[in-house]
Amino acid sequence: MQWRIALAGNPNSGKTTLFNGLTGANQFVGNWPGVTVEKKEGKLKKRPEITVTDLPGIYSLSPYTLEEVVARDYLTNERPDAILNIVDGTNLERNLYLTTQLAELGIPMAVAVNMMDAVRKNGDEIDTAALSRRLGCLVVEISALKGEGIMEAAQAAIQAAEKGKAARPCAFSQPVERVLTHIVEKVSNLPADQRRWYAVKLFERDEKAMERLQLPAGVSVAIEEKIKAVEEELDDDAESIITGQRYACIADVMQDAMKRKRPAGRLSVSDKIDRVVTNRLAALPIFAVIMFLVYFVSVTTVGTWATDWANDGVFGEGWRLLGVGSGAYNEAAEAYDGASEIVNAFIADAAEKGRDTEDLETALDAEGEAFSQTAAAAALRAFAAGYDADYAVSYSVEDEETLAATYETATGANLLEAADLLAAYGCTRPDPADYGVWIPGVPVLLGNGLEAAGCADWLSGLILDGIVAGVGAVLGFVPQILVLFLFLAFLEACGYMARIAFILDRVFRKFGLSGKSFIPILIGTGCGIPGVMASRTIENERDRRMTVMTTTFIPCGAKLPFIAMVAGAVFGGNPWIAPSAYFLGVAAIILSGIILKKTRLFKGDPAPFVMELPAYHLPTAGALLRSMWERGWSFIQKAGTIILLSTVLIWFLTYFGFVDGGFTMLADDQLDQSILASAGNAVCWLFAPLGWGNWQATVAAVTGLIAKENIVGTLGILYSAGEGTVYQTMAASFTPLSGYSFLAFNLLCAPCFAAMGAIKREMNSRKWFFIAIGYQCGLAYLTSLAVYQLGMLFTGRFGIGTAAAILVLLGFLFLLFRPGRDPVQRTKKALAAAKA
Amino acid sequence: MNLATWIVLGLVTLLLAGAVISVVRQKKKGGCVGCGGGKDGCCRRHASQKPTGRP
Repeated sequence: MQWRIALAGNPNSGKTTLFNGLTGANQFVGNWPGVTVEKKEGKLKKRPEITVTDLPGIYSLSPYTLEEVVARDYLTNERPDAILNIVDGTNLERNLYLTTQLAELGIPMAVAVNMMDAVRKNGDEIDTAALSRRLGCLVVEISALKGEGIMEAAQAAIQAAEKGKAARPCAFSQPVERVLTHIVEKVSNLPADQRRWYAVKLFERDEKAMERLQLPAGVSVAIEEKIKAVEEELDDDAESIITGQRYACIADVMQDAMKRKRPAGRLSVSDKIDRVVTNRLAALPIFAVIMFLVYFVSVTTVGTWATDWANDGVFGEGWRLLGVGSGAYNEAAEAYDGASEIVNAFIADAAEKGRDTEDLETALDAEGEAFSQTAAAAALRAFAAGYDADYAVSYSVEDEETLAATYETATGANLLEAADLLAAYGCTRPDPADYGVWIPGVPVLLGNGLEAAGCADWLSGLILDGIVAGVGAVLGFVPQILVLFLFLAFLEACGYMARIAFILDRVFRKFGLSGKSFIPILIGTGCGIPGVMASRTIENERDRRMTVMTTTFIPCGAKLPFIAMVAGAVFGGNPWIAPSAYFLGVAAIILSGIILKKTRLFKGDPAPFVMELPAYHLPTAGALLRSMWERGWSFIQKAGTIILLSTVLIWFLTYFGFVDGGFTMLADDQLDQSILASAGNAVCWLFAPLGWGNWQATVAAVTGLIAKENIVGTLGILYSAGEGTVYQTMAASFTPLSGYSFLAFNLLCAPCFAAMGAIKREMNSRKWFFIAIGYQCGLAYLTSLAVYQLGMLFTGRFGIGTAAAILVLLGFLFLLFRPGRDPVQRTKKALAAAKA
Repeated sequence: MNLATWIVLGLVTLLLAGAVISVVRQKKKGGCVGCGGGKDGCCRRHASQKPTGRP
């Protein structure tokens, strides 16, 4: 026999966990017809004749939200064979409100009390036998997370369906029951099991029920008179009467079935933490500190250490296993480099004074064909012996990371010591492979292999300068991504993220915004696409559109690599850059909301925001690692697909171009003649006012539209050609101001194509899609312009760009502080005009 | 082009073909190409993690 069981319950009661446990992989996910609410159906494990439908989480069956309408319509129209009502044992009173409504539907029902482990941990007791007696249906204890009791719960629902027995509805007070009996008589044309439900709905003046039944006018009037009489007798409106009496019924049930350890009014641990974390004054500073720490640890400390290993080791020259020998090698390399600088300074000095140093330089050239360690050492010692001990030479030393230059002085005595040291190393730089266990990097291994195999230069170039340089640059940031996602998963799972939405609602509301808009933004810190999709929870169409437009301002996981790259290359690893990017995104969202809310397109009252704050709990290490790995694996998969294809295309466009009228592969010093350079040069002038009007940065920003990781991949290809590392070349190409301007632009401009697709789907309108993208690009351009040009003001430079930036700032301040049109005043004016 | 070049070229072509096929399959499954998740990938999972408080 085919049975259909519907899972119904409050949000966060564990319905989906139960559903997954009951159906396993036998699920189908789609949408309820005509709406964007997700529909999940599956077959019960080992009982494929039983279909389980997971209804949206709802607090009641009143028809206010889309989820409630969907659930209610399914239950009243489809009439499943049984309802399995999941209630959260730690919040029994609130959860039973829905139970009392479900009981009136006349559909056989069983109740599963979830989170029993948490109930016992709190020291509370639920007498399920008493609960079952009072509710008139089977009640089963379960722990959906641990999988305990779930098949018993399904069995209870099946038994209820087989017996065809509905649960006992609430008994209301005598005056109400009299009216309900009267209404039941008037709807006698309905099936017996549905009459109670419609009677209560008509008493509540439920419009959808009235629409459905289409009662004759006389009957409706008679019912209305009886309802009014009860309202007068009980001195309250009908809906409130029913609500109040339901809760009275629930309180009665709770007295029999629930025994609490903690007396009512005493604060739980979660409440105590919330007193601090959601404190009016301390909440925002605490939030700022937490997010700073998250980004500081992810990007600057743990993340940087791991990414340096990935970028310089795995995808660079190589690395030492477990770091053994690193200290000794670094010491040797530093001493050798220091000695080399002294020798080179004296050689340069000798050349300046007209001495012939060609023979010496040839002897010291370790790459030369005729190089001999003995001859080199001898030549060097002879050169050093020709100087007095007191003879001094000045030279500059450039720091590898910051490129800062310092001046040093060396004497003839220093030269002799340097010569001895270099001779001790055989006049060749210490080989990293001689210290500890050296593992060559991927480019070195591949390069040696391709050279040994005699592979064609162009193909070697594609693999090393294209795929490895591009994809490797992106994969190098996987450690930082993993660390960041671990922290975000922790904040989400422990319950703090829910508090942030609540904290920010208080702030948002002052500006006409709702904290509900922040939920998609929180989700967007992982990926902007689910963030955009999560805007579906916002009922107000204007607020929803505004949220869709601004969600992608928050840095997603894909933007983290280029934020870290700018922080590392241009700002020397400054710990403030990554958190500042996050706060810039938040500021852009809030300020955009304030400005847009004052425009005709978006004005209106902020949506009310009611949200359940789950109790704080320590998430399991397994759950955290799983969440971290899921998102991290998605990042790696993307690198192996879209990024890989993009880097091949970018390599081709970078290394091929027209030279002397012919189409050919280019050398490293000819990249300015590439196809990509030509395309970049055609538009890079647009970005000159932003401080980064070169073709490389322009092209990187454009390729970022395919996927934001591509910015790193593209710069990895373009800046790895020639001498110096990618970071060194990038540091030479950007100043701190232009670097931050580049960061701000790519952070705020249109997101990747996939996110744009999500925006287009959610907007469901071409016009709104272009408004959204246009707004994002415009805001990015103007913000970047303001950052660079106003920053230049502090260095004493004033030009047309500065004047434009000042105008932009003034315009922005005007839009921010201009009085918005009060909707109440607007309505009054309209009414007054209509009267006139 | 020598044999080694042909072999390496073949491997690179396979790699790129694999990437293209993977992207096309993800799109067909209705999954999110953006983050690489499939039908029940990160997009749906995170979109369903929404509070559904009502006014």
